[in-house]
Amino acid sequence: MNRIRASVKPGGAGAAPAEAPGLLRVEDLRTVIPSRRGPIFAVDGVSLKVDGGQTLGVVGESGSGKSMLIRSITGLLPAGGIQRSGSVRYEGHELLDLDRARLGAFWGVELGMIAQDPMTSLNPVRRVGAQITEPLRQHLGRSRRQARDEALGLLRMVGIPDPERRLVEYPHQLSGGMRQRVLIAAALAARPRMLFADEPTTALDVTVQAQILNLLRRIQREMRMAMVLVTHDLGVVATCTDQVAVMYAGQIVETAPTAVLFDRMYMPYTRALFASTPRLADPPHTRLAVIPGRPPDLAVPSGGCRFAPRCAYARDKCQAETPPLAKADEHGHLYRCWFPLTGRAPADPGQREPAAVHAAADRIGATKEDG
Amino acid sequence: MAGSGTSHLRDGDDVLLRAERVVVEYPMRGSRQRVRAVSDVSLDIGRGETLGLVGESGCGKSTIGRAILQLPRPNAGSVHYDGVELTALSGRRLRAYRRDIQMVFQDPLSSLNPRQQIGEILADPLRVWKHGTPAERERLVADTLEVVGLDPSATLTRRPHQFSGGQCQRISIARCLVLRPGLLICDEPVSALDVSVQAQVLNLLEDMKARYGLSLLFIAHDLAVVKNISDRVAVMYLGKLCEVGAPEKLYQRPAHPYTDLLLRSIPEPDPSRPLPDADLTAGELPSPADPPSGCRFRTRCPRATQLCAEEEPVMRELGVDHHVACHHPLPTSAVPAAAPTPERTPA
Repeated sequence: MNRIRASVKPGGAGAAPAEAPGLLRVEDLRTVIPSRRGPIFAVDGVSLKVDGGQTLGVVGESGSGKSMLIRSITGLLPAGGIQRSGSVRYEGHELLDLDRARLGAFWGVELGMIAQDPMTSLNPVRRVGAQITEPLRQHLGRSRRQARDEALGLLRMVGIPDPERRLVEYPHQLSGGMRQRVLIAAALAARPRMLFADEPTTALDVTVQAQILNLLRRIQREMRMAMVLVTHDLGVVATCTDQVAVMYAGQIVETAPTAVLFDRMYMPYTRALFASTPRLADPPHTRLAVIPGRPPDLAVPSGGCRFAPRCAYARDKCQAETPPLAKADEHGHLYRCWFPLTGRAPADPGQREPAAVHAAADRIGATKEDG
Repeated sequence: MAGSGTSHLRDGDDVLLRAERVVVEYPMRGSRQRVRAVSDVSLDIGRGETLGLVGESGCGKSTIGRAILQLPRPNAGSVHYDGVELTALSGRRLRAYRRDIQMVFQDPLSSLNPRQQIGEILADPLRVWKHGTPAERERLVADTLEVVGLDPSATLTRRPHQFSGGQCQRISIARCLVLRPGLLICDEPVSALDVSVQAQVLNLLEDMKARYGLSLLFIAHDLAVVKNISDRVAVMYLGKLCEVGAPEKLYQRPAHPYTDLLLRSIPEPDPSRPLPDADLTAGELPSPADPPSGCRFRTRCPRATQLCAEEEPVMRELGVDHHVACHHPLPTSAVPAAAPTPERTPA
């Protein structure tokens, strides 16, 4: 109970604004990375909101800025003149204004992070136990003994058999699935209220993935934890998130409550991304839709829609004018497209775009892919 | 299976590759023990057929791919390619068959020499095999690049790092194709790629298969990807084969509890479906160095009985093109395989 959180929360719950502010509220976040070729606009005007107990899924191709978005929100950016602007409010605190030391008070108890690669996120020369007890002792002020007991409980909770033995082992002695669980146990040790998970199950086998996803869901329900889940797996998005944000070239190009988005996709990129994924329900040898070309170079600012060069539906206006994030009829559904698609999402192959479009796209992809 | 047996193997001239009772052992570091990475596995691939081989990491699926190439040679069992027993060939005669069986690897960038230009990378195998004149080789390389969807003029003199992952995988595939192989072994060829690029490479493999009459051994852990490309699917667990069959049958009516577990663990891209449940404690893979007795899957199997611990199940036929190695397979005839019901006795 003697959480450090108390000391950094001056106002407390007293000043509740009229509109529900959300646990995490990001407004017009921009991250610019200097490079030899000029500034790279890695995160370009992203706004989002996550409430307690809710999960926001972030999807997109590699290089779309998913991981940079999380790092920009949490301030876990590499050194080297990276500029952030906009606003990241966590429970009313402006995180962008906090220096490293003051932000540190939020880590563990308020914010938790599960990175993609369990091998490089765990310290290879420290025992597993030390890495889990550290947040307990640092943030919650537990004694050595209490921390050890709690760590054992955490390891059991994440499904690690024989936790006493695991506590004194080093990360290299564990399998990939075990390491990922240890990482999750460490991230959850101080019971954060907001968890950032960057592809937490991508490196795992499907059976282990199902275990980890169930675990996260259980903890989320028990503790009303909010979560930002970065993934490229549309099955994970569908079953584990409440809201989805599709990212392209550093921007959110479509966002909606998960069920709404799977039902209706306005942005051609969203639909193309979904249509390119092989599905279990499809018969063998179903021709997959492809997205021709490659994501744009973020060091070269472009006018117009950033997806236009790869879009099968692009017209002159798309090249010339940048589309705003427009509101759809359904509540909470936003998209960035001048000529939104109508009709339902491509649930089965019969409803997907005509084969001719695929064939054409295939061909463009083959020759134009050259960057 | 986790069992053995050969009842699923086919006879006749249509079979291009036949691997029978293959065993591959590796020495374990710091011990005299040996790990059986592949333990008595039999499989065959028809001409023009794609066999998908799925299983979790460490099940031995890559090892069997290499054993077919005789890299290294299997410790026991036989591999027949086009009627010739590769396991009995030595030196130069085996080398002649290496040309016919080519391999595509998971990481496209690290499987291409970073110091060579793409033109050299593709011409190398032709030079090694003394194929035609330099001019003919050049033409064949350019033609093949075109076929895999790359512009030769913009590709030939560049180096691998100048290409994206998807383009590198196209180059890897082109490098195999210049030799006009009969069998392509693809070891997780799309798992390092983004979904959109993954679709391009899967489509390309399908096109190449049709164009050159290739047979494919497609090794992957992603069941949806495997279903998309395969004519026949084999499921592996801990060095053994569990189930073999036509994709429609195996995916809709899995007979082996392990196949069923894999399929039920995949979250569907449909928000109205629930998150697959999972028993947190039942998930660990036993060590391949010390596998369970009898059926190797029994320690995680909801249907396991005493028999499963005592006797290794043998592959048997359930129906046309559907084989399973299990003492208590799930029903495949009537209703779709329901949740596996461990025989429950009413209290």
